[in-house]
Amino acid sequence: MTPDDQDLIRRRQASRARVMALLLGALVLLIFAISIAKIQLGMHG
Amino acid sequence: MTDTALTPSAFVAHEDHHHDSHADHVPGFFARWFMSTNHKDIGTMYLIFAIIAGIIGGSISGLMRAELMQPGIQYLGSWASLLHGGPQSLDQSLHLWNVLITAHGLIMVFFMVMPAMIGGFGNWFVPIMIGAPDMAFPRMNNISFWLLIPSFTLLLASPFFGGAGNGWTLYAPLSTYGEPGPSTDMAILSLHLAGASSILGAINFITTIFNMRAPGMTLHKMPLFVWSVLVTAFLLLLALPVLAAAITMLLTDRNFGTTFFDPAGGGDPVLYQHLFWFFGHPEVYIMILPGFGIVSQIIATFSRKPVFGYLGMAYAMVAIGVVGFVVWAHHMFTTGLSVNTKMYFTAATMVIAVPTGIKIFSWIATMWGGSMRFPTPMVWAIGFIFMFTVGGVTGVVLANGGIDDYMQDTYYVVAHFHYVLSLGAVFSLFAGFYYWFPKMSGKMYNEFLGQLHFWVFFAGVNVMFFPMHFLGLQGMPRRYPDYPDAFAHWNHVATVGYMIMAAGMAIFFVNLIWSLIAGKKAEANPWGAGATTLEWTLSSPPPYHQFETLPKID
Repeated sequence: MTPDDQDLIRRRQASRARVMALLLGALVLLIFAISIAKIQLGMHG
Repeated sequence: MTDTALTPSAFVAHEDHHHDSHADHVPGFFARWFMSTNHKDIGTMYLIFAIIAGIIGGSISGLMRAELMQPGIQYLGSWASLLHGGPQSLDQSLHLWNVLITAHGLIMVFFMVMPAMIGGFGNWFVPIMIGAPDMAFPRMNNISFWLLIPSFTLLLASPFFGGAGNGWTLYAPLSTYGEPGPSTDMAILSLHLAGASSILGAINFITTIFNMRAPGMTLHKMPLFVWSVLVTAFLLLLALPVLAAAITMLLTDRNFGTTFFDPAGGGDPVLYQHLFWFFGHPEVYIMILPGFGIVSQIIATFSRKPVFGYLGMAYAMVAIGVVGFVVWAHHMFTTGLSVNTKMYFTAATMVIAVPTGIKIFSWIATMWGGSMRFPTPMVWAIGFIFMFTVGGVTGVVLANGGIDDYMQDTYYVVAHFHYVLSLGAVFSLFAGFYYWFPKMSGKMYNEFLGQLHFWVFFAGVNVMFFPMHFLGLQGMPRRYPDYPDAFAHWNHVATVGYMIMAAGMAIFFVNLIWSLIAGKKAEANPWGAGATTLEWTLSSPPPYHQFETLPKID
C-alpha cells in the first residue's frame, strides 16, 4: 500500500467519522427532546 | 475474530518495529497530560481517576460497614459533627447515612466502574485492537475525560452543603421538594456533566469502531472486547439522554416551579421512576458488558484456543443490550403496576438469562479441552464467571414479580447487585488490569502478590456479601443505619468480610507500587501463543503513536 493510498483511506475515514458523529449527536438531542416533550403532552392529556 | 484470522506470518508482519519508526514524538509534561489527545494517555488518566474514585467510594462503604457492625447508632453522630462542625441532631446524623449511601452508589457507578471499563480499557485497547492510530476524535476524547473532573468535584463538594441523601436513583419527591438546599442540585448537575462526558465518549467509540478499522478488520473479525465496547456505546447513547431529560425535569421542578413529578400540579412521581429505570437498567449492562469482553479475551488467551462460538458470543451481547431496554419496570414491581404488566416484565427479564447463559457456557466450552494456565488474570476471570453466575441466579429469583413483592428493598437485593457488580464488574476490572498491566506499563506485576490479592479479595467479598442474602430473606431493609438484634450476627460477619476485602486491596496497591518500581521488563507478548489480538504485536508499552503504517489483517 503506497503512502497516497493510506492518505486516501485516512481521509475517507475522517469524513465518514464526522458525518456519523453529527448524526449520532442529533439522535441524542432527539431522544432528550422526545423524553421531555412527550411527558409534557402526557401531563396535559 | 482476529484470533482465528491472524496467522503467525501476520504476526511477523506486524511486529512493533514495523510501526514504531517516527512514533515517539512525545510532547512535554503539561501538554501531554493536561491537553492530551493520545488515546493511551487518556486511558491512563481514566484508570488513575477510577482508582482514586474507587478508593473514595470504597472508603465510604467502609464507614457504612463500621456503623452496621453492631445494632444501634455508633459513629454517625460524630461523623456528622466532624463534617458540619459542632454537635448535630439525631435527624442530621441519620441524614448523613442517606448521604453516604448516595455518594457510594453514584461514585462507584459513574466515577469508578464506567471510567475504568470504558474510559480506561476502552480508550487504551479499542483503537489498538482494530488497527487504528487513535480514536476518531482525539480532542473530543480529551473533553470527555476532563468533564469528569468538575463533575466529580461537584459530587464530592455536595456533602459540605447539607448533603444529597436521595439514593443514587434520585427518586422524586425526595429529590424535588423533599430535600431543599444546593446539595441535590449539585448532585444532579454532577450527573449532567458525567452524562455529557459519557455521551461524547459513546459517539467517539461508535465512530471509531465503524470507521477507523484497519483494512481487513471486518466487524466479524473484531476481538470480543471491541464488540462489547461497541454495544456498550450504543446503550450509553440511547439511555443517557433519557436520564438527562429526567434529571433536567428534576432541576426545573426544584427550581423553576414546574410539576413534572408533583401530583399537586398534575405530575406523577412514578413517572420519574419509569424514566430513571429506562436508563438505569441498561446502565447495569453498560457496567458489565465491557467486563464480558475482557473476560472473553482472557479465557481465550489462557486456554490457548479461540473463544468458543465467537458469533454467538458477539450477538449474545447485542441481544442483552436490546432486551435490556424492555425490562426496566422490574425495578418497580411494588409501585402498583397491574398484574399483566408485572407478568410481562417478569417474562422479559427472564429472557435475558438466555443470551447470558450462552456467554457463560461458551466461556466454559472455551476452557474445555484447552491448554489452560492459571496466572493472575485467568483466576480473576474464572472468579468473575463464578461470582457473576451467583448474582445472575439471584437475579432470576428477583425477576419474579410475586417474589419481588417480598424482597423489594431488602438486603437480598443488595446482595444480588453486589454479586453482579462488586464481584462481577470489579473482578473483570482486576482481570483486565492484570492482563493488560504489562502492556500498559512495560513492567510485569508480581505473580505471587497478584494471586494473594485474588484469594484474599475473593474470601473477603464473599464473607461480606453472601450473608446479605440471609439478612434479606429475614426481612432486613436496605438503606437503614440501625437494625434489631436479630440481624446482628450476619451484619457482624459482613463487616469482618469488608476488613478481609480491604486487606486484599492493600495487597493490590503494594503489588502495583512494587511492579511499577521494581517489576521485570515485560516482553511484547508475555502471554505466549494464546494472545492473538493486535495489542500483543506491539512493544510493551506500545509506541506513543502506533500503526502509522496501516496494518493489514488477513
